[in-house]
Amino acid sequence: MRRRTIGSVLVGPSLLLVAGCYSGATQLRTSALAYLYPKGSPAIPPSDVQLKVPVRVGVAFAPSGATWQDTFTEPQKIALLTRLADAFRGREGFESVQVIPSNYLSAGGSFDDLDRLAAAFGIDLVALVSYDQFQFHDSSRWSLAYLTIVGAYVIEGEENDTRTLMDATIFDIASRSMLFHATGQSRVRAESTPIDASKVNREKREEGFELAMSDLIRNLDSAVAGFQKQAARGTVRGPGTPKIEVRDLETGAARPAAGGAGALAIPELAGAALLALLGLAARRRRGAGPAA
Amino acid sequence: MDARSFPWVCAAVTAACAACSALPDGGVALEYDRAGLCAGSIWRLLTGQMVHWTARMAWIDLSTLLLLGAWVEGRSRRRLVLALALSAALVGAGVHLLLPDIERYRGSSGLGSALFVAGALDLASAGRPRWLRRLALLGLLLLAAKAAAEYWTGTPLFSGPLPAGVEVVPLVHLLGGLGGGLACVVRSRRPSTADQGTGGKCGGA
Repeated sequence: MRRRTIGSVLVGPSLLLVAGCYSGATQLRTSALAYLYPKGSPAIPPSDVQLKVPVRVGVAFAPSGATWQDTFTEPQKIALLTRLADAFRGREGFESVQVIPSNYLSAGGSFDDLDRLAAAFGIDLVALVSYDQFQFHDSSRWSLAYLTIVGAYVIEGEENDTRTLMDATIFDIASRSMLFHATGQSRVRAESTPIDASKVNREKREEGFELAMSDLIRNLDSAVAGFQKQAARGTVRGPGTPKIEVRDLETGAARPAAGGAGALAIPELAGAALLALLGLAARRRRGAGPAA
Repeated sequence: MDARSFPWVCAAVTAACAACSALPDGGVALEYDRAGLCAGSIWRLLTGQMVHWTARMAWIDLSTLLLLGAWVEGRSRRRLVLALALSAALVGAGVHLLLPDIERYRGSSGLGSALFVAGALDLASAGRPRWLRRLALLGLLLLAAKAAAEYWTGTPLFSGPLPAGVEVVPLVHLLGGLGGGLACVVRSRRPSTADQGTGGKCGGA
């Protein structure tokens, strides 16, 4: 009896380990701030912004430091950036939006990197997309069935929880000022067999990015509207932040924001002409004298 | 037309507005700018009504001003000055106090509306012929209806293209019209010797 107890104490945990009852997490992460302000670099104070509309925008992912860890492939990034570029296109004040592949940016390249991009692509603003994706892996109690070998093929005992945060930050390259940003997030859960775990994890990572980008694009409207409202008041993000002046690209004239017009239309002009003519006719009929 | 009856005031005001609108910087220094006004540029309350966003807008506003101004001045120069002064004050105060979301404003439609109301009231109160009176009242009604519809729906009617971020403000038409009406009422109650017999009060002819 005692021997059986000792055996169960030793074998039990071993079985659990063999069956794959473990927890773990993987993280994919990039940061626009880490790209623009790498460690040791001094903070560059933003200057006042002078935008010449319509502006030309480049969209790019902030480069990640450790590329060998990053399973977020370039084609996926380009596809997501294209969606973001489409969301910018057609908006008032945006002339062109270009997708910039990751290999044009170097980790820690800072604003010098952006200056080169501005010259090469002819852009005024850049939308730097950062992401932070955590993927949690857990094995459920069903993973004990993996011991049967067949169970590893049919029992979905692997749990996957993918949480993604994506943020697009728009910078004015010339002034080094951040104009606005929009954030999107997603959470995707899945279960899989250990045989398919790697494939499902990869699919869920992609789905997490897709959903986070969709959320980001939805939030872009309010971010742009908020920026336009602030710009109308003359500053980027309220008192204490850089001043902003919007000028027309062609004429150079200050572009109005929240402007009002006291404008009459053709009907009023026609009415005025009719009124004046009738008044003149009536006056002649009466033979009125000159005004006082 | 002798020199005395020439509408000098109207011509001068229209010419000044045209000159301001034709400034090379687009009248930036003269437009109503809330921030500039708060910084002490008080003249913008008035000069904002002398500059325009587009050439089309300037053309229609100033043509209306010239046509109606010449007519009203022909009837009474004092009434013209009073209508312009009252409407300019009402529009300037209205934009600043009643429209806090408006950061910049340009246009002389308030002045045009004032002269429209003053001219129409003058015709309407003249009494003869009767069809002219009805036509003047109809014109007033249509002007008020258009301004009210634009105000309540927030959609300008028949307005031409304006720069991005600029919207027609119907409230200034109502305020300008009010200024024109007040000018008629004031002149009707306090006729001057010079105006008597020449339409000094609305319908006084």
